[in-house]
Amino acid sequence: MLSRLPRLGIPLAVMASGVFFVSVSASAPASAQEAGKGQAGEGQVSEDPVARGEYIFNAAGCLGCHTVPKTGERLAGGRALKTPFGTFYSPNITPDRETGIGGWSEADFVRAMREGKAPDGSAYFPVFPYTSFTHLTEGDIRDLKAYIDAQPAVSQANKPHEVSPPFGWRFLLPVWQTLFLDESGLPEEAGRDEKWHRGRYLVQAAGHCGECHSPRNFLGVVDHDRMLAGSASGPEGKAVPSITSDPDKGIGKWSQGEIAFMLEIGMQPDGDFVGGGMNEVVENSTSKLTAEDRDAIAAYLKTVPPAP
Amino acid sequence: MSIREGEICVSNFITSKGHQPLDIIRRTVIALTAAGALLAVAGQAGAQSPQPVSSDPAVVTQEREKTMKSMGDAMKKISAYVKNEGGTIDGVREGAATIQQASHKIVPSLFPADTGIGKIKDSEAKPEIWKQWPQFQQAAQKLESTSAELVTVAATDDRAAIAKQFGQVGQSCGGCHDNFRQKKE
Repeated sequence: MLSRLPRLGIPLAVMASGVFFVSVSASAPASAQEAGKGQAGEGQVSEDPVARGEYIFNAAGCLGCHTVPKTGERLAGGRALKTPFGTFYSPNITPDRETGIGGWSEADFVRAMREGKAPDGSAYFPVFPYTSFTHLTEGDIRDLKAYIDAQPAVSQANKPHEVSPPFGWRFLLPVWQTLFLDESGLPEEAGRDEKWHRGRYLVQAAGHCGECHSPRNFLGVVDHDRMLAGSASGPEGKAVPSITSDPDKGIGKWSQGEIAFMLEIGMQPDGDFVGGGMNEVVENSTSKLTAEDRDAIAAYLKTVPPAP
Repeated sequence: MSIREGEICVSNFITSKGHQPLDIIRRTVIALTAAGALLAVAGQAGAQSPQPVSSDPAVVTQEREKTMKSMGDAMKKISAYVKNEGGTIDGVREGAATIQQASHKIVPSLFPADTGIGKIKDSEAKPEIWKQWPQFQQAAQKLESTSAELVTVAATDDRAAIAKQFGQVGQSCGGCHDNFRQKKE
């Protein structure tokens, strides 16, 4: 597949430079891509933690949940996330000291991402995908904080969640976390190359694809045997398709290049364009990755086994 | 609204002007008729209900899916050129024209209110289309303008410019699908 890349020539260079998506800031792509290349183990790692953090920020798609689409202040939270357990409102993650996370230490931030705990020790609902983010490297988490700290502070108080008992009982969450939060990281798999590992990292840790694309049990726990096999009740209660290598239920018939192209501009092999939230993911996240990283994601997804 | 104004009018006649009963009835009739006519005009303008391609919602839905499929095929054709995977500039021009022509049909005739999810089997049209009609129209107009621009750009052989505009059209497709389509499994 890599051999295909040079043939794409100018058009893909145009796309990769972010011309497609107005939301990409004019100056950012170069540094972000440099950082991304560094993450991919190719070329130079950016020396600027903010630039590296921006790449992680995009790869993790933070913007989508932490901003009310179109009308909201950037990263000030308040977006309603409807789940089978109730409606959650994302919090303000701008550096505002009163209403955002401006008062957090680096250790506070790492603990939130890795252990799902607020600085005061209280537990976060797993709608914040720390079960995925726990697999991020500490370096990436620190860079992410550097980027978020560099964003404009917005004073906007958080909205309380609307979750019915017993799911709304926050004191039960530590039990849930003890049972279901696996902080052991992503083990190296023998016989897989660096690209595959990079793809898995982007899918499972940063991109947290499985949070929407995997089925969950009645306690909201992702079914690991059916990882990425689709969900009947995704965001807004709508079905989310399987992205395993299953040729019928999943995307097994897609070529690696077709998967990468979908992540870049949203087009599926049949010419249809994704919707239902995925268009937002493409715009906010996957279109901003390097071509190498999109190809790594595609390479990894091609190896995800069909659900039993 | 108009009727209420008419009523206020009538009550004013009774209380303040002291007209004869017959006069009041006549004026009431005139006021109500005028209000009714206004309301009818306002109703038409507000709903902007275009002529559907058929009076049978099932037929309209089929026609809609056929149109969407034709646009998907056209995008596929254009992408083959953009990705340099065997596509031709003639294919791009043909595809761009197909999308532009189809985009004119979308709002006017392919989305009558009785063709949404729950009303027609296998419909993918979310009720939000009719709840947020102005936003839906705006999204549809975006496809009209971006595809018209693609037709213009396709007249050149500038692959980079075509690729860029192809992305804009793609964003119009995805933007609308994001809010207004629920894909069946």
